[in-house]
Amino acid sequence: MIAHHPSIDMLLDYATGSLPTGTRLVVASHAAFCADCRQQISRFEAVGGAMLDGIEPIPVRERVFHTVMAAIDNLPAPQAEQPASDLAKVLPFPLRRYVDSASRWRSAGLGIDEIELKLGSNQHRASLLRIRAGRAMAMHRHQGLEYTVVLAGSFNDGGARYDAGDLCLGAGPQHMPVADGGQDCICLTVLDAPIVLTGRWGRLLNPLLRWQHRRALTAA
Amino acid sequence: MAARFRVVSAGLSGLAANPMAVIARQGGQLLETNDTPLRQDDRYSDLIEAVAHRRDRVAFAELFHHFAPRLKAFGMRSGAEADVAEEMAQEALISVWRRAETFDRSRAAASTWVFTIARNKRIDMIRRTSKPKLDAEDFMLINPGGGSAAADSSAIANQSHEQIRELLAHLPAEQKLVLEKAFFEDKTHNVIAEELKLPLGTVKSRIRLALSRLRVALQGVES
Repeated sequence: MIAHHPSIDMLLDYATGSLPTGTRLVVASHAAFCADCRQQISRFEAVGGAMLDGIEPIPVRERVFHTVMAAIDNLPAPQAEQPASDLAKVLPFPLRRYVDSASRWRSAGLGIDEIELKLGSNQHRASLLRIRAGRAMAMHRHQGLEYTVVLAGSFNDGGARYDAGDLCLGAGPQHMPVADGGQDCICLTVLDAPIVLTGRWGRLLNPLLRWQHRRALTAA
Repeated sequence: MAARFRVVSAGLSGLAANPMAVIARQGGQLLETNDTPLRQDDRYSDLIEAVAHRRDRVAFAELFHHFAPRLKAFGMRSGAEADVAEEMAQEALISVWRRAETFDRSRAAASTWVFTIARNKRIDMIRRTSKPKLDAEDFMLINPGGGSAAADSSAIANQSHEQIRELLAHLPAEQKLVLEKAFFEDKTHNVIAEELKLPLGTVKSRIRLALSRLRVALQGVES
């Protein structure tokens, strides 16, 4: 049962196409699990459709018609679908294109594995995180916003439970998600600023995290 | 399914007799004349299905003549120059041809489906990267709404589509303006507030008011 949804504003921004890549993936991943939000997005898109219908048309040059008719005759044959890797199979459709057969979990320490997603945008940093069953992610707080969508398993954060499809919004207050569902928890995490570890040992890692985040943003 | 297909085919054989009837040419520019509004979207759904089932070029040409000038206007409202807006319209229509099989008239009106394609093209063109095209990112694809794509749910989708159009036409100007900025200019709530020099709360409440006026009609749109 999905209990934690994106805000209605976020769904509208998704439908109008105004979300940047990172948060768009957050909404799309949630919606892959959530029929209610899919329906809400469809309603907003229906408004977009009606507005497109009612827009004052601007004639196109006739050349465009011939270009399009020629193009549809010369479309490359559709490429055979690559068989999905084992990793891709557990991901909702919108995320599958961001991983390939070379994507490998790398240890981020403390029982957490990570695969960084190449967004081609420097506004956000997106990763898949795997928290091993029973382990906790280091206590941290955020300088910016963190969006986490549970893709498999579940976690508990300060008494709130997040199951597959749930969106967890982290901002400001310290939190420490624990994968308590008896299985590994896999999440999509999108960050718009590096996290700050606040535990005793975690603090020592902060310079490293900031460096990683900077590097990730410049590489993107 | 088979029955639905037969109905569609029968509708289109009538159409094929005079395929270019709706297209008028004037000064080298292509224009289209208006159908009666109520049947209009139904017709475009038929045409998309004709492309899906038979790669019907005549049906596609009619779709082109209806949607290309609207897509160009949509692109220009987003701030694109005429050339770029035409390129976007061109790319969107090629996607209409390629992806016609994914159209499901029980889930969306034809113009809604075309809107989502154009929206994704606009995002791709803004990103201008070799990153995965949005084309194939549609989460609706793996979660098709359950089972029966009954003809009457298509009628409901089209009826509410017409209702939405009608209601949109009568929205107060200030509400219409924020919706246009959101949908045509792909502005977030924050950016709209900045541009109109209004508090964010005012922008949100105008959008909400506009959408709540459309709510009754929107409830007919099932995913």
